[in-house]
Amino acid sequence: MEKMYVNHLPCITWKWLKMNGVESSDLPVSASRITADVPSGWTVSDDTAAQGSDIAANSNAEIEKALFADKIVTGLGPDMDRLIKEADVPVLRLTASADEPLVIENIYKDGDSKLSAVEITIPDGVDAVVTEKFISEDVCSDGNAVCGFQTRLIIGKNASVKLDQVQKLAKNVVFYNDIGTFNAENGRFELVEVILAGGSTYFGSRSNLAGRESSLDIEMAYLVKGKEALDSNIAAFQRGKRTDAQIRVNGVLKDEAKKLTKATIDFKTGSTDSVGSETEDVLMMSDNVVNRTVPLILCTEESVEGVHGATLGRPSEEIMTYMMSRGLDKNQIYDIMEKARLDAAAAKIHDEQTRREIAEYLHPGEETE
Amino acid sequence: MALLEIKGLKVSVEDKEILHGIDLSVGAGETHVIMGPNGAGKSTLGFAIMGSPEYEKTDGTVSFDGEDITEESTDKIAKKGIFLSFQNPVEVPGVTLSSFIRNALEQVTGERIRLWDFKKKLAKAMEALDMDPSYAERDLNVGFSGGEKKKAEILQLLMLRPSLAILDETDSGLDVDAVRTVSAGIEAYKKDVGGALLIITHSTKILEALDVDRVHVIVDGKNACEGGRELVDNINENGFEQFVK
Amino acid sequence: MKEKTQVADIDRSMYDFRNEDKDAYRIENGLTEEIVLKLSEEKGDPEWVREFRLKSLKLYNEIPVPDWGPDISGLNMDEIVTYVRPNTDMKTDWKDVPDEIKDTFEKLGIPQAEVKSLAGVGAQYDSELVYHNVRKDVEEQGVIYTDFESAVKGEYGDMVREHFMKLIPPTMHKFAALHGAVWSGGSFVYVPKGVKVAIPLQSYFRLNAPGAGQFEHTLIIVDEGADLHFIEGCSAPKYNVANLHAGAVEIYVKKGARCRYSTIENWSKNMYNLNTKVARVEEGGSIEWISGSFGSHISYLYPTSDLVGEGARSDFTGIAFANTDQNLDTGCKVAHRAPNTSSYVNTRSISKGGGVNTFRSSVYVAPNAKGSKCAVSCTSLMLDSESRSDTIPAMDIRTSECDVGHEAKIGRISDETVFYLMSRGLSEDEAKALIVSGFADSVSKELPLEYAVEMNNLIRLEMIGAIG
Repeated sequence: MEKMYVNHLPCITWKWLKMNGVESSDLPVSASRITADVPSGWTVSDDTAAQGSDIAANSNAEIEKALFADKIVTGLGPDMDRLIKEADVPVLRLTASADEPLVIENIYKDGDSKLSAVEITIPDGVDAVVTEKFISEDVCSDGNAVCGFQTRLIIGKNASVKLDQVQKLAKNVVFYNDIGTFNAENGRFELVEVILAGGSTYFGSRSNLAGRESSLDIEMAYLVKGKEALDSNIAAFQRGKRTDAQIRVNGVLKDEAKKLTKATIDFKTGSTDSVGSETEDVLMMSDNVVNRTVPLILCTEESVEGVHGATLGRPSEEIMTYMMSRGLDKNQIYDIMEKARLDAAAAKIHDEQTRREIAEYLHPGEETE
Repeated sequence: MALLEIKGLKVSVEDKEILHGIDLSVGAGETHVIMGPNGAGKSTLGFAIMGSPEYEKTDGTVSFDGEDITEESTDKIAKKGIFLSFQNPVEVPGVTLSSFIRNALEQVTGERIRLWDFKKKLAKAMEALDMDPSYAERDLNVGFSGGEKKKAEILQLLMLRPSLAILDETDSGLDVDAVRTVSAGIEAYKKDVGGALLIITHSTKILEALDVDRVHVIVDGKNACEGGRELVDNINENGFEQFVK
Repeated sequence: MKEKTQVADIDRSMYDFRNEDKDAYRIENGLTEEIVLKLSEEKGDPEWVREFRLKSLKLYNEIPVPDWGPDISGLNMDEIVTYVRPNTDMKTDWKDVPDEIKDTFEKLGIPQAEVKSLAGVGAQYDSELVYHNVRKDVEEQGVIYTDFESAVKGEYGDMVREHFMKLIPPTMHKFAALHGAVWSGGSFVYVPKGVKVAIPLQSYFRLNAPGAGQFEHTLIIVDEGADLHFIEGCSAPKYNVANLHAGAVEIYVKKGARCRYSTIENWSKNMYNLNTKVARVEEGGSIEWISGSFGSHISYLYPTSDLVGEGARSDFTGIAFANTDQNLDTGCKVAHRAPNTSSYVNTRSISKGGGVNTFRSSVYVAPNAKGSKCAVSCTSLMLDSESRSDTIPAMDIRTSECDVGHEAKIGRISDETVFYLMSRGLSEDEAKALIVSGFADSVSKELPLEYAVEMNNLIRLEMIGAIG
């Protein structure tokens, strides 16, 4: 594969906006086996063959068909599956247990071109906790690397998975972070996504809310700075009755950062009494950033409620005046507000060690916890 | 013949039976009170009489003016002359109180009403209820305080002139002055229209100025006791425990 | 039983009646260079217009059909008649308009409205204006309101040439190119500096010929400090063949001027409405779009505000009602390209009976647009689960010193509200119609009374069906 097309907007719009999807030719090529301390209660399968959604065309119609056939289609899309298959990536295939959390730590080095994949089945009634870290060995390096990671989650009846992801990558790293979930009846997917650094990030997460009362809760916080870029595609495909999708994105853009957020709630016919909400709040710290957002609500069901809200810009005059009256200058206020956003999301991460690492990165030299 | 005649009425909400066979008879022009502890099914009875599709009548009959209205649709029931004052009136953005009442009045009477006559009548009724005239042009119940919402309900009662008014907890959440105004509105309805009243309440403030003909106590979805005005005083002193088996 | 309504009853025949085709001239179907040249000759175009048409036709053939919106494969350009001249010259007195055509406009209430509440009227029947008149006092203020052909050839020729298809160049999209090639009819409006036109001007477009296209061009220049309200109305009888409307509206709002452009679109449900509207607003000027979309089979409609002067402002208020066999892709585009500009977008959509609504928008705030404000709010109502409602708003913000807010909501009519209204004697249909009218209130209250009434009638017609 020479190029892949990722992060399709589930319903396309004007081409000149360049928001419908991204074509990229910077691809990770070498298959990389995940090394993790799998807790004793979890089981590892011998089968490491990549599954993929087997979608022939990159079209939204094909993706929708696959979702209706109870398949997992990830946020980045079918090309990522193809890439994983082509590179013959050995998939770490696990069955979760509630007893102990799983931590997967990926340390990337300059020159790496690693592609890995994990697939976790969460059996009926099990509540699992997973932490995934994507970290550059030297976050200050200016060496190149192109890496990718895919997480597929099959969430059983009355089961839940809390997935916490932290990304701290060097400024010339291209990274593909791809998530796909299938949620059975009352299957719950909770994601805390904290993006602290990374040269060029493609992040995608799509949930197939097939089961009745299944749900999705995403709390995402990002800091994009320097010449970094972030392209995100978050999608909730709401099929079951009384499904619930909550997507909250808080971000900070600095310097010459570029960011595009795509977030979609898609109510299909039959998703009676479902609700969906998406919000994005972006703090723009510089005049040279590019802040793009396209929040979709798609709906073919009468009995649903969907809302979307976005505020993009600088802190309000009231906040500035209030904080300045307490003796802070503009830069200090911006610094406080920037960190407050990331701290809020980081506080939701379950793994204590990971929380501490984020705090150390955001507040160097300060006493933590 | 009674104006409203309910026999053996059973009502379910989402397949759960709330009323287990209620009997009730209200004569023309009479004032009846329905009392009972929270969750007894009092409001359910009001909604069921009014034909709400969420309240399924599984057994028994409701007749009004000699006609069986058990399966009738809500608007037809309203046109026959029953009015339900809601405990929590719904907000309807974009539709003014004034245009709504005029619309409803035309539906209920089947006649077109001249705007000028209507405005005069409405202004008079609003004055009697001590309502700020600007409320006429505000969107129906949108941003109204609890008290204003209740007054707007009584205003509709006075304008629509039904032969039976069911008042569901009309006095709840009101301050003393508002209760006085609402009570005055109800008295005006009795005097001008001479209609029957079915008052659903768990307190007795609103009953002070009214001649009550009959009091019905409902507990756990069943008739627990029936009597005259003296029953109100009894409940004031002894509460509902005495009726709970 | 006859229904009682608060406003005058209407029935579909009000829009749906059709006249026999007695046009004087009808160009053959389809689109070739030969046809375009013939059309140009027929209209007596000046040289530059003819050149422009040919250049546009070339672009039309090169630009692909849009693949991001509703399917327009049902529109076969080889079957569309691009030019139909009615059997009359343009008149300035209704008395002189042929009875049959006059009848049409009388049924639509245009002459009556002119007497009551309009400063000027233009009426287009198929491809040409059949009537144009402006009130004397307005004319005396120096306001020019004329049919586009006379404007091109007359004393404003240079002004027209300077502005024509500069905001909507034929390169913009396929149907802008088509418009450039086959445009015919429309109006030219010039409001001189400081002149405030107290009451609205109106153009009404009626497409009577089956299988025809209407491609009128409207050019409005509101000079510094001037003020104008322009109303556009459109309708057509229903045919079994596709009709096409690909008009273009270009509005220049100069320094400190204000223009309000209102449309109640009620094309018949075999119409492909691929209309383009752009306003360019200079320093301190303001454009107000009021847009009601009720008719047509397919619509692509996104009025665009290009805010190029400091403090320029755009207001967009829109409503779209998609019923059976309708796919309405509507919305707006705003570009903030100067400091302290502001834009407000408020839309409502209603989907019913399998109808499809898409709200599509884009907001761009340029790096130099410091101190700008933008608020977008769109609310959609789904009346059943056969219908569809999509919201696709895009934002591209390039300065931190701005304030951009966006909110979207989708929902249904609550059973509780319907029950409440029914308990006061309204039938279920009446109750729902009332709720939908209330939902549309934020748009109808922006319209002059007669048009608000017409809009309410259209909502009732869609909700309850033909009345009376």
